[in-house]
Amino acid sequence: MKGLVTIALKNLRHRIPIAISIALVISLLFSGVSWLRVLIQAQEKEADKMSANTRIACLVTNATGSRTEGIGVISAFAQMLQGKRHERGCYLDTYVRDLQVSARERLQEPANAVMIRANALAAAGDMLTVEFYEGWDDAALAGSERVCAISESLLNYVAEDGTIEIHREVFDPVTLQVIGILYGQEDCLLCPFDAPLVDGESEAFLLDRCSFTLADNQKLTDAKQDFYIWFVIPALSNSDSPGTAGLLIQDAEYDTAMAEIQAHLTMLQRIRVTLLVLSACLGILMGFLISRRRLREYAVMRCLGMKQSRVLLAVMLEQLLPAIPGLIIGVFINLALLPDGSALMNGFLQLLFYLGGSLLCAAMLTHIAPIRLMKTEE
Amino acid sequence: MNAFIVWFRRKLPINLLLILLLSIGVAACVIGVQTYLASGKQVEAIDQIYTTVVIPHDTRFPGHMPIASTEKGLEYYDLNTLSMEAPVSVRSCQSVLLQGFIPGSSCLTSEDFTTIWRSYDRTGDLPYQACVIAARCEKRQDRSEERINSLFSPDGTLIESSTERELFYDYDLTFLEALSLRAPGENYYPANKLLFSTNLCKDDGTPLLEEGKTYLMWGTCEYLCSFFYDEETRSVWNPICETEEINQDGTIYSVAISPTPIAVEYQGDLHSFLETDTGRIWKEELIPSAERNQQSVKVIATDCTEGLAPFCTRQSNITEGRTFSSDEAKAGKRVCLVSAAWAEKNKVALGDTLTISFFAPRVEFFQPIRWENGSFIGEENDQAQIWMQPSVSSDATGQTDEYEIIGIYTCPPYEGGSLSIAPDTVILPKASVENAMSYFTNEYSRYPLLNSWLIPNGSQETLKSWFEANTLSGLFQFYDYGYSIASDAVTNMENNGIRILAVGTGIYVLVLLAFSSLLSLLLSRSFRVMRLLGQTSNAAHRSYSAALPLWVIPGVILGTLLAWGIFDYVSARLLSQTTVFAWLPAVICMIVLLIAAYITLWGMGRVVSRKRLLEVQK
Repeated sequence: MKGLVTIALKNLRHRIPIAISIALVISLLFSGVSWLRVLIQAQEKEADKMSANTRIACLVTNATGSRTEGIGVISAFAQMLQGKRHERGCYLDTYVRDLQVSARERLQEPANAVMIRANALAAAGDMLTVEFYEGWDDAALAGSERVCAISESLLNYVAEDGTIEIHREVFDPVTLQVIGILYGQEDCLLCPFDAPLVDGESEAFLLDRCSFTLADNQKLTDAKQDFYIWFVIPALSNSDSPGTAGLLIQDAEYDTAMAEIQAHLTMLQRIRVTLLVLSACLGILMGFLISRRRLREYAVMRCLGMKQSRVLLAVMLEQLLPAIPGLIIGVFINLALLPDGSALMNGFLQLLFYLGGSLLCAAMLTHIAPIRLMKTEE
Repeated sequence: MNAFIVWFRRKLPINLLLILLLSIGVAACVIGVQTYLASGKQVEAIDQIYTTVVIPHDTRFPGHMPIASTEKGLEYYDLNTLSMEAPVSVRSCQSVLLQGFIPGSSCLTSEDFTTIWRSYDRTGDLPYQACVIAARCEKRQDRSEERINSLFSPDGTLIESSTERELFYDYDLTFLEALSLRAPGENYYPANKLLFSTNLCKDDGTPLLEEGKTYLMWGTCEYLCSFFYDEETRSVWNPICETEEINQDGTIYSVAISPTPIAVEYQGDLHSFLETDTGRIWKEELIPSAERNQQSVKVIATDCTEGLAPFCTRQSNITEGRTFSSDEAKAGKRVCLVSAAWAEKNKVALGDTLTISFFAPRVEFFQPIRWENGSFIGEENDQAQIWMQPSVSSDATGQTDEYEIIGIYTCPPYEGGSLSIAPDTVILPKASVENAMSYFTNEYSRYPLLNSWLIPNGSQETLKSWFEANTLSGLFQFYDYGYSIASDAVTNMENNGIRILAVGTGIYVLVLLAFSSLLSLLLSRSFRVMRLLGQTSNAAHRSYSAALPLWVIPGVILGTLLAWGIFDYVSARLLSQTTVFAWLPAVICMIVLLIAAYITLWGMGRVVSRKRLLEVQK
């Protein structure tokens, strides 16, 4: 082996331009791969940023999509989105962020008053504002206490202890603690969506408005799949009933843009594949250049009793030795571009393909019989 | 025989490798071009799905899209001039509000004749329409209200203020017969009381209606208190009740006629009156006009749906089908979008055809009126009441066309103003309605014109700065459907395309230089021999030039095929089925590279062939 290395070094001294070319090609391949990796990483980062910043709004409608307010679907759909139906295998809450849900009901007492149940003030209506009493704020609406904010016109109904009794159809009267004054609508009472208004049993009612945003856009496909197990895509052909809710996911732009970005990333990956094949081609080419006009030399080696495998090894050594400085330079460039070393593996893969090409060339040159090699005209 | 061709044949292996070398450079360049083109297409695809919209609005009239006068003296119709001065290219998207009569249809909103001020009944099933009602005036009550007239300077300072008293007449009428009223639901009880409040009086100052007399009234009615009767439970339910007109037996409810009705007194039998000269006007014009109105929809004839505010704000979304393309809009294709609520009500679906007769909204129902002694008075005599013709026939565009429903959209609750779309709005290409823009020049159609600008994605900030510099900021709202979030990713894609093209071209140049150096090294001996045999350098170069295609053509073709094979065929199977290889640009690129290679090698041959023999020998 030592002898082979010595021979290779001696031979390389006569082929310095080619040796430099090999080192250059190897370092270029290494840096090319890392540069491509940098491009891919930057694009992936931008795609992630876009995914994180885009808010995909989802709107619950009735089954036909004809109503976005006064949707009239049962409250069970809101419970699904709130994560209150895990026992039935519904885990939609994992996809939901900023849920805004409300329901309206006309009360029997105070007469003509409207009760709005909402989990946030914004969910109750655009025009509504609340002036909360001391110690209370809008977080109360997200809770499940029996509290409410009432319009000024209903203040007459408030008892001395600061409560108001409401009478609903079918259900027993219930007393709510008044926590603020509601402005923007007369004869209106606003209470938390989750406030239990019936003792000892769960209550189903019809929703007025319901909307949310997707918690994680990267799970859009899974989310859509899961959502449409429980909801339907709004269409006029659907039968409109409180038991069927439509869900409109406003993802058209995001979906198309993301598909195009993914296509772009795939294209960059394709260039990586192409680079591998071109590396092999370069390997063949450099291999041939270094062993040009040396077929007789190889024939003599064979005639002197050297095995074909050793001749092959000698030829390969001549290519490997100049590859070492190229490799060192390449690794340095690679690490300079990507300090985390994420492109090193790709660089070595590239080198492997290059050497594969060289090996193929060397095998082709040294494979033929010595007598034929001797007869070969250079 | 050409010595170079002979050399090529004799040294076939090394020449094949030379061709391979050239093909690697060509492949790199072709891949660079393909990537650049594909990136461009991807960027364009993203660009097409986003729209950046600029909507002018008047802060004094929130909800209305046209801007009012500003310091620069801009008027509603000056937006076009402004768009020409803008620093970015602006595509104007104009919409005209019209009404469309669809025979047999049923509308959801009150078909107020001033289209823009329609209101929407949330339950969607209450009669709430233009109507012709016979009623007897039972009681009149007069009241006066204070009216403050204020005059402000442009900067909002109060200049002058005066107070006037305005006289109102509240009439209580008994509902006798409805000659035209939108067919109420099956379980409706008929109204039996009519309320009418107005500040109109005759020119002699006497009230319009007299107690004990019967009148035929044309106007827009609104149910103040209504009852549904549930046949199953035999119970009565009142979802709306804004007055205290609830009768013990639950069968009474009131109708308020809008404050600007047309009324005529009649005596005796109503149907005999309709045969008289005055009655015929009602029978032939007013009753049909009310019926026509009940079967009408609001029409937005527009250049593009993306420019409409409810779509920009995502309050409206297409749930089924699609919107019309810009080509369809330009060509005036007879296609339309309807709201899901209206489609449901009228039992129409995608692909169905609507026959629409267009007419323009009109706000001028009365003869010009004047103000006197705190009351409005008709300029003419009391007959002016029946001269108030509805706008239906006089303003009709005369166009009736069949429109195919291509899209269904969701509609948020109607909030009034041009920024909100009523649920029975039909949206169609403006170019499909002849003379639609002529309503723009009509003084009364100023409001119904909705303007928006479509600007190139990403140029929002440039325009904002320009508005600021021209004291126009705050008068325009910007919407981009989320493009600003995607813009960084798009810019990066664009840059990637350029970078890879540059690197690909660079590799080709390097390879070409290496190739030409190698070839000159290999052929220098042949040149020398030819010249030693007595050929001139030019003759040797000519032979060389004739043989050049042997390397160049296969090299370039192989390179292109290599690029296609690896970049498209193989990698598509390994990574994705998306094919991006464009053959036409590849062939053009191939020809360019071929010419470049030929010229370079030709020049190199020229240099080598002219070397001094002694120098060559050395």
